[in-house]
Amino acid sequence: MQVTIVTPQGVKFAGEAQSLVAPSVSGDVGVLPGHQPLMAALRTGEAIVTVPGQEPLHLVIDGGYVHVISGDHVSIVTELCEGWHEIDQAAVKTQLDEATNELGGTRDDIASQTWLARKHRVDLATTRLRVVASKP
Amino acid sequence: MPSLKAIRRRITSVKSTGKITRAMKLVATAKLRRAQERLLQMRPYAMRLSEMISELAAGTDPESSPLLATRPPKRTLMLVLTSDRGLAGAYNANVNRAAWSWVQRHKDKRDHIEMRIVGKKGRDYFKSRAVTTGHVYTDVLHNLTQDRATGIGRELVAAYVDGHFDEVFIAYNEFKSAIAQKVQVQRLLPIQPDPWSEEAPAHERPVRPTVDTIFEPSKQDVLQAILPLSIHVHVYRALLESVASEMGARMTAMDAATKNAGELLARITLQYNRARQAIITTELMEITSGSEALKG
Repeated sequence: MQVTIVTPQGVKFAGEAQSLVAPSVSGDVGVLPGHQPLMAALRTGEAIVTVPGQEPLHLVIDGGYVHVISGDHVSIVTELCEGWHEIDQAAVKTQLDEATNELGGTRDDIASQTWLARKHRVDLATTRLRVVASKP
Repeated sequence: MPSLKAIRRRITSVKSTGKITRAMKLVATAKLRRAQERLLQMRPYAMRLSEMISELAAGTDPESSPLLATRPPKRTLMLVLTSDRGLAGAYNANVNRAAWSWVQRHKDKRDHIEMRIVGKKGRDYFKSRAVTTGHVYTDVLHNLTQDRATGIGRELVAAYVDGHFDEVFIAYNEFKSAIAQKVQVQRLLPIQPDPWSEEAPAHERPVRPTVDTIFEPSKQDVLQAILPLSIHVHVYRALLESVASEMGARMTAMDAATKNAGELLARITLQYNRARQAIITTELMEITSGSEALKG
């Protein structure tokens, strides 16, 4: 099936894939060829694209949507998509520590905009570290 | 006939103006290339998003989201995208004039029209016009980020959802090529699905599904989140188009200015040489006539 991942910075992935796992807001969604048309909102998390004859491709996805147009056309529309080679592990570790500290101090007003923004930073950093760890 | 000294001063001045315009042209060319790249990278994203929206909106009651529902247009908001700096030919004048003529044509049928402006050139133009101006955003195009565009988009959506306005329009220069820009006045809100359909050739568009699509978490939730996003993207894209157009217009204008400076320089140099020759001739005549007189 044909997978396309687009961000405002350009097309990040376009090509044939065996399967795709996308981080939807209600849990990970696995897509295989012949999947029923689907439109799902995504959370900040890791997507895995399996390309025939290659190591699975782990990518950081930050929100957006996965759209299964027909059984063999899938696109992910997202604000951000990064592979492991685009991530600086040391910098992300520091960011994660900072973000976690900040988040810890505001447990009271859960679901406020600031809390959500801080939670988002933690999620993004955690996902980045997971994707870096997938480095073959 | 101006004195030699005056002409010389003029030559120096024209020369340095030519240097400045040439430098500005080079800078605009480099910036244009970068802006064009960003615009190109943005296109697939905007296209996919509008595809999703047209699919979503196809089977949806427009009343289900305030961003789709049409209200009788009484109060209108118009966002005009101009640049902060001039020397870009008719770039700012075109978009300002188009927005102003739109206002002139529609103000009788509206109770209230408010302009929000990006760029100092638009601010200066509308300052003296009989129209309400709201927020003016400056220093946007110079260093355009997606966050800035999203911020502007969010304010527009909020003003619309809160009921301050019944419709939102956007006026900007669409980038056609380095030498051609086309002014667009488009309706941003309420959303008309598929505003950019003309971009995708029919054979490249994926086939519409025949089976029902599954929505997660629900169709309503997906719609509620994707509609504001599409506005933010529309604004961002219009801003990118404006940046590219501005650079294109400046490049063309500065190229013409450099050419004119060259022509002018040739003309004044000729004038200078003629004046110099005339003085030499006069002096020679004085000398010869003086010596002729002594001989006699």
